[in-house]
Amino acid sequence: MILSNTNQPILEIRSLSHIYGEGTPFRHVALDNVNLKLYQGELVGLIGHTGSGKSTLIQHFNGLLRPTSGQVLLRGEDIFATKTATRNARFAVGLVMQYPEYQLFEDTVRKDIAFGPKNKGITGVELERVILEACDAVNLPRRLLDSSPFELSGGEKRRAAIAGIIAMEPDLLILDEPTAGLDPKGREEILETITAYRKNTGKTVLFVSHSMDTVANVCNRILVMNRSHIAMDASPAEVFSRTEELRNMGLALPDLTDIFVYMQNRGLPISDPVYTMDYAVRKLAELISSEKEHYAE
Amino acid sequence: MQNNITLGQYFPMNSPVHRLDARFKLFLTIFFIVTVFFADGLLSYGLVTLVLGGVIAMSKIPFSMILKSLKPLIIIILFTAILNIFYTKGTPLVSFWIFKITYEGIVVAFKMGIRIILLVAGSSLLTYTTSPIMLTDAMEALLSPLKVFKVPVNELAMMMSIALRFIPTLMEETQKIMNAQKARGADFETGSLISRAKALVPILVPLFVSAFRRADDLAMAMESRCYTGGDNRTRLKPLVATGSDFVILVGCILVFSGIIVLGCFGL
Ligand SMILES: Nc1ncnc2c1ncn2[C@@H]1O[C@H](COP(=O)(O)OP(=O)(O)O)[C@@H](O)[C@H]1O
Ligand SMILES: [Mg+2]
Repeated sequence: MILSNTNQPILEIRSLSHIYGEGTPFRHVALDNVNLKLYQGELVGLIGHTGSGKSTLIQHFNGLLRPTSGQVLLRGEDIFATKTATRNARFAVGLVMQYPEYQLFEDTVRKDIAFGPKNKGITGVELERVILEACDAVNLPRRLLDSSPFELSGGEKRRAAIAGIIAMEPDLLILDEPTAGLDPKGREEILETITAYRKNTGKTVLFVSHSMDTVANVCNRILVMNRSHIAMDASPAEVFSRTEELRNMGLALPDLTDIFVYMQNRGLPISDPVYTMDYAVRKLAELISSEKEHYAE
Repeated sequence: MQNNITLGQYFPMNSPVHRLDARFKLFLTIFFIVTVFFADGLLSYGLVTLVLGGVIAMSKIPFSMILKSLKPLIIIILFTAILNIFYTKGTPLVSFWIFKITYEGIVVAFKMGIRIILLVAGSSLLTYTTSPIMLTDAMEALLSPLKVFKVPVNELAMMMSIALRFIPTLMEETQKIMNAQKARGADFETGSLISRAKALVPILVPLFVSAFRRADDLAMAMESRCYTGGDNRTRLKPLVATGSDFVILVGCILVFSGIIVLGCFGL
C-alpha cells in the first residue's frame, strides 16, 4: 500500500487523443494516443518541432482542453470527472502559457499576481505572503510590485506573469516556451528561476523548449514529441545518443553534442554522448591526462 | 474552438459553384432573393426550390451545413408561420374559442416559412462557397458605380478586407487570453450577471492592448510599403470572368426571370 503510494505518478495521461475541427475540412489529429506519467520532483523538458502537439498536450494537464478520448489523472483522479475536479486541476497544475506577458491586465503588478491566488480563495495575510514569495521566486525586484505591468521591460513582464502562476502555489508548474522571444540575458534569468524554483520547492516542473542546449543542461528527463506522438521519453544521455532519429524529426542536437559527435566521428575516443559542459571538461581532462601518461611511458 | 481558423462560414471545396466569379455569384444571389419574393404559386416555388437544391448539390457543401445555418432561424420561422395561421382571414377550417384556423392562413404560413428558408439557404450558400476576401472584392466591383457620387469605394473595401483579415486573428487571440486567464482560475461561466461582466475585464484589457499593437504594426507595415490608397491599385488576384461564367450568368438570369414571370401570374 505504502509502496504503491510513493510510486503513484502525480499526473498521468492515459491514451490521450485530441482532434481539432472534427467534422470540418480542417480536421487535424493533434495528439494521437499519448501516454505519460509525471512524478514528484521531476524537471522535465518537452521538445519537438512546431506543430508537433506540445501546446495541445500541456493544455490538457489543467483541463483547459478536453480530450477527444483518453484520460488525465491528477493523483489518480480523473480531472474531468466533476466540475470541482476540473477546477481543482486549474490550481493544482499551474500552466504558464506561451507569451504569458499578454495576459497581464491589472493596473499594478501586485494586483495582477494576486489574480490567480484570489480566484483560488487565498486572502489577507496569506495573499500578501504568496505574492511576495512568488515575486522573490522569479527574482522580480519588490519595488516593481506597485508599478504598472505595462511599464516593465520584456523580461520583467514575463517574470511577473510567471509569478502570477507560481503565486497560486500549484503542485506542478508547466511552462510553454518560457524563454521564447527573450534576449540571452532574459533567457538565462528565466532558466535560473525555473531551476531554483524546482530546487527550493521540490515540485514537479515541465517546460516546453526549442533550445536543445537548454533542456540538455537543466532537465533530468526529456520528452520528444513528433507528429502528435511522444517519440522519446528518456534521460538526456539516451535522447542525445539517438542522433539520427532526432535529425529525422527535424531537431538539432545541442551545440556541444554536435561538436563532440563531429570529433567522435573523427576518432576522438569518447563513446557516450556529451551534452553538458561539465561532462565535456571532465572527459577531455581525463583524455589529456591519459595521453600524457601514454607519452610519459 | 473550431471556428477560429475559419472566418464565418467559408467552406472550401472544389466545385463549380466555388469557382464561379464572385461578382456573378453576388449578383445572382441578389437576383435569387428578388426571385424568391416574386414567387407565388406552387409552380414558381417548386422551381426556385429545385434550382437552389441543384446548386447546393453541385456545391458539394454537406446538406447538414445548410441545415445548420437554418437552425438559429427556426424560432422566427415558426413564429411567423403561427402568426400567419391565426391572423389570415378566409374560409375557416377549425375554430375554437377566439382562434380560427383558415385555409388561406395555412397556405400563407407555409409560403412564408418556405420563403424564409429559401432566402437563408440561398444567402448562406454564397458565404459557404466564397471566401470573405473574394466577397469583399465582389462588393467593391458591384459598388464601383457609386464612385461617381464620390463614395470612397476602394477605401471602404480596403477597410473591410483588413477587418476581415483580423477577425480570425482577434478571435484566436481572445481564445488564447481566455485560456491564459482560465489557467489562473478565472471563471466566465458561473455567477451573477455583474460578476460575469466583471470577469470580462481580464480578457478585454489584454485584447485591446494587443489590437492596438497590431493596428500600429499594420499601419507601419503599410506605410513602409508606400500605401497611399486611391483608385489605381492593382490586385494580386484580379477577378477574371471566364466564358463559362458568362454562360452560367446568362442562364441563371433567364431561369430567374422566367420564374418571376410565372410568379407574377400567380403560378
Ligand atoms: N485551436 C486550434 N484549432 C485548430 N488547430 C489547432 C489549434 N491549435 C493548434 N492546432 C493545430 O494542432 C497542431 C499542434 O499544435 P500545437 O499543439 O500548438 O503544436 P506545438 O505547440 O508543438 O507547436 C498544429 O498543426 C496546429 O496547427
Ligand atoms: Mg506551442
